[in-house]
Amino acid sequence: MMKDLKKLLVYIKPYKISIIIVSLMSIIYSCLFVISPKILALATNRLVDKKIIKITNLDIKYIVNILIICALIYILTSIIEYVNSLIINRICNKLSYNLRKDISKKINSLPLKYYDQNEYGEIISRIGEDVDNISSNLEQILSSMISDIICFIGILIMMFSISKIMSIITLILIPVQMFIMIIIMFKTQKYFNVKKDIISNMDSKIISSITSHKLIEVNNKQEEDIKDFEKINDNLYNCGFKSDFYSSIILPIVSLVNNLSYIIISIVGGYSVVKNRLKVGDIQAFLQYIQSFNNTSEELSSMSSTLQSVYASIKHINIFLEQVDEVDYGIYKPKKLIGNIEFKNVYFSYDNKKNVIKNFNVKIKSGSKIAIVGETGCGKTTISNLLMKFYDGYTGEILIDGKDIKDISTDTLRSKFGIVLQNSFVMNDTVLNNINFLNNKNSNKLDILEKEFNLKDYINYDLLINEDNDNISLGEQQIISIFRTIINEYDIVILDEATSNIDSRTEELIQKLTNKVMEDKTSIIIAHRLSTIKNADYILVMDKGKLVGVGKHDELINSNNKYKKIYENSI
Amino acid sequence: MKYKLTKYIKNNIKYITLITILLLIVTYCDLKLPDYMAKIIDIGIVNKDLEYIYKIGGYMIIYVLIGLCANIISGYFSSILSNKISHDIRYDLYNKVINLDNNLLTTSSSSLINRLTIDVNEVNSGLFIILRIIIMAPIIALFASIKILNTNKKMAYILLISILIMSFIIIILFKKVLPKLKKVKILLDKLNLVSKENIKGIKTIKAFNKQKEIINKFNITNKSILNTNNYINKIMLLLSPLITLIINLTTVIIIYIASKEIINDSFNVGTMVAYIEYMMQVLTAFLMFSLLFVIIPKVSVANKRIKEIMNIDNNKENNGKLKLSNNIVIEYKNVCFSYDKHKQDLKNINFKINNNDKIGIIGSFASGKTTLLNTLLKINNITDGKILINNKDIDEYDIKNLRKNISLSPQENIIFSGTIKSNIKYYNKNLKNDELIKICKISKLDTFVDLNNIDKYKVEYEGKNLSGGEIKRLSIARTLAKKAQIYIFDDSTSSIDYKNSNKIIDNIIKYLNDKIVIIVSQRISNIKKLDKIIVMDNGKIDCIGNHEYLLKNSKIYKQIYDSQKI
Repeated sequence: MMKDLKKLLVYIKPYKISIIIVSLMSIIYSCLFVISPKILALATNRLVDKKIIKITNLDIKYIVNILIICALIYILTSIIEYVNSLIINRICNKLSYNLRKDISKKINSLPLKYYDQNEYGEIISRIGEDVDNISSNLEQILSSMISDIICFIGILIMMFSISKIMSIITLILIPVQMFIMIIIMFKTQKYFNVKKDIISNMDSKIISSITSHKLIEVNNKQEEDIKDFEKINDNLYNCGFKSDFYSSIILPIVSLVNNLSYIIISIVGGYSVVKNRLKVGDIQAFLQYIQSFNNTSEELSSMSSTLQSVYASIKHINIFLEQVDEVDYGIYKPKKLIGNIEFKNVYFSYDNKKNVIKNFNVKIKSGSKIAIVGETGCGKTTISNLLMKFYDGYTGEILIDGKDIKDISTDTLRSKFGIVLQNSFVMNDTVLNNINFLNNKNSNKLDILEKEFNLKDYINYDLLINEDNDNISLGEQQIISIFRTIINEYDIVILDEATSNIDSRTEELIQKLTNKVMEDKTSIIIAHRLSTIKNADYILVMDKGKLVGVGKHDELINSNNKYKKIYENSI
Repeated sequence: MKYKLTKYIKNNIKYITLITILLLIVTYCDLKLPDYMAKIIDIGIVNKDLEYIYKIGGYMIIYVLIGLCANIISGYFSSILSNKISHDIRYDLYNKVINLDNNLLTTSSSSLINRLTIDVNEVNSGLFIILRIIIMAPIIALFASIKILNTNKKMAYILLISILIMSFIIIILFKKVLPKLKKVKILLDKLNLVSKENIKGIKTIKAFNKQKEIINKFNITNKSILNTNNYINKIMLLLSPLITLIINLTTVIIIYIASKEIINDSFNVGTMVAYIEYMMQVLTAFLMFSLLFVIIPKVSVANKRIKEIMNIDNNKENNGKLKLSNNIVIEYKNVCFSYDKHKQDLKNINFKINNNDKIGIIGSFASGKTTLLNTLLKINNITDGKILINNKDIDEYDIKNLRKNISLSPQENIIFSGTIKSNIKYYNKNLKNDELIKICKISKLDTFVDLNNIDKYKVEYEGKNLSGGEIKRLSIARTLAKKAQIYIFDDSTSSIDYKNSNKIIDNIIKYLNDKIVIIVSQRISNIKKLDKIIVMDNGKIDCIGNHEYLLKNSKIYKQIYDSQKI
């Protein structure tokens, strides 16, 4: 608990002077707020005196002076209210800005492993809902907590100073009101629970209807299905109506209690004035105090739930922000990689339970093109993940040019690799910007490629890819992904071939481009296409995390059963 | 018909009127209290008449009780209203979803659930508060003005002027802020998109060392959100202090006027005290307007999400009146289909199915097999060419009758929670028991179900307690149970072992010997006995013929055959 709140304090700390100023102003505001009804009462008292005692030479100037003082107080309190809320609001907006920024930084410094275990929807709701929740609730707390507390105490003092009996009567009614509210809430709770059940029923109905949507459509079952849903919907209506009705009673009860105290004050006050124990202005002030008292106590009682909600959100965000970052102990920053790669006794597991790579030993010579083949889940992609330092925690050694990759700086290492992933990633931006990929400059390499391949026939650079990426075919996405790699400088190529079907024309271009990517470079291809496999210098056959064969196509097809099987299945 | 939120308000206008009337009564009673208070001061206190004070107190209690009743009744109707509106929106939305063409349903079920529950509630409760604020504030202001108008015109004018000024301020602030609120909403969506892309493409971003750049991209939007929010709040936060100030200053002016009159003996102190009370009421009512700034954007976001679904237009459905007869001949003539303009998913499909034909369809992943079947089911409406059934265009047939005569076992595993039996009888509730047993044997359900005790086999949602092969068999049985003219098995044997799958297919062919049967499979052994096998490749028909013919004439078929021959 303290840890999470401390985290919040870290974010608030830069604004401590502002907060102190706001607090001081809040105190002034509260005092003025509390005192103003009492001042106004002075005028009323004077007027009543005139009425009852029949003072004949009442001076309007006295009243005017009081009113001017009141007006000044009102202006001052409004100004303070505005300035205060503005300062607090600025702080909270800045705070959410900083929180978002830190979350974004965190997203990019976490290891890939984190994303295997967590859905992005959850992370995004941190940025959206939790940050909003913190800033808006914190704003409420910071801007009204101090003034509410002071006003609450101040009003109580004023009320008691006017009339002890009237104050006690007012205060007695509060527990009565609380008691009734608790009974109602108890009753409502029952319906809320039922409502929850109905909603979860509804959820499973929707899920099952969506999954069987096609069957419903082709079997003409729409009406029946809607009828089923309507039953649940009707239940929800009935239950929702009951729970809403019971909770709607709370409001009238609150106003009943308020009105009753008003009446009692009127009668008791009237009695006291007649008995000369009180002045009319005091009753008027007292009535104003009751109203403010109700408002502030309501706000203060909602404060605890506000605090809780801030706390819950802070905790959410904190769990995320305290995830362990990707670590990099590598300090060696080679200018160029020659491309000799070696795996020595490598074992690796994603979940610390099942090894996906087992005793992997291989040497890849600089400039060679090797293809890795194997069934889905055999660990092909994992090899590239380890090589690019996307995952650590393997045992054994991986060496590039004789250096352990743990000693090579991660950023430098990755910058020396040209990688084309199996699933092409595109963003909601133009095709050209997707190729340049977050670079502001256009690469001049693209022009050279353009001349070589007549790319404009295949792809429209200005096309704006939409959010769902569905106005661009998978083939085009692959082309973008390959371009993105080609226009950079790199020494080693990792190519994870896509398996999706694309039309032959695009396929041909992709073939040409992949050959271009691999030109004169050490290349590791996670292969799915027969032609790539046949053109490789040699082939690594993997099965269940193990290397079960190395060699050329012609050798393997005769000697290696696993390879034979994979080969037959892939065509 | 386009979806509009106002429709639901209009439909329930009688409740809204009723609630408004009840709220009028509540407000009237509330404002009666300061009136009586004035009487206590002006008559009771001035004349030192305790008796009178008590009597007035009694009146006050009566009004409070009337107010209480009206308030509770209005709560009753409000609960009906709000639940009715959400019920109706939910109903319409669900109706829309279920009647949507299958290929237009791209929203995930979790998102649909959110729209049907959380968003509908958000819209409804927000709408409710908005209505209440919009109704209540003017009522209170109106009543207070009328009351003051009855006793002193000058004061009433001053109150009216200040109400006008307040309304003016509220309108201006809203006008300034609302577009900015929309802008923030768009920016927030953009921010979400950037982080979504950031996470989706994290591997690519890390591979290209673009972490800094993407954080910068994020922060550009983040910064504009900060700036826009600061601007909005600079304006929005004015509302509460300004309205408070105006009301307070109006009170001061009213007291000043009252004092002058009181000195001239033409006005009573009690009335003045009552006026101060009125002013407090008007203040609270107007301050509620600031709530709108919070609620309206929330409602509009949720409403937009509902609208997105409601406004999807179903494809135009050509629906005829013809009914399917017993002898069916289907003919595809140059049929083309595409989901979108960028790509043709079916190209120039030509083939013919005669009555009682048993057809096999084979082809690689995404070669257009399911797309082809969907055109016969009219899930996909073809974009070019013609589908003829008994020489009449498919569009001339009644779509319901057409689908009634087709029994489909879809590629997706769809199992309903219930029992094995309830699943089989899902589309044919009248299925006789001996027929049911027969079907179970045909689909080889008897390998894991004791047919004598078939009632006791429970199936969990999505068939979680069944294996892949068992699910497929159950789906085949369900398809056989439906009485139809055309039976389609889309990849129905994929998780069943070779031996059993071949047997099941043999059984099906025998059982349905007088029906049209279409079997889609990735396995040659499943379909090689069929007379007519269609080989699909890249949305086109590569070749049609029997096994021997295809081995000779289709390279693709031969390749598949070679790869599966062990």
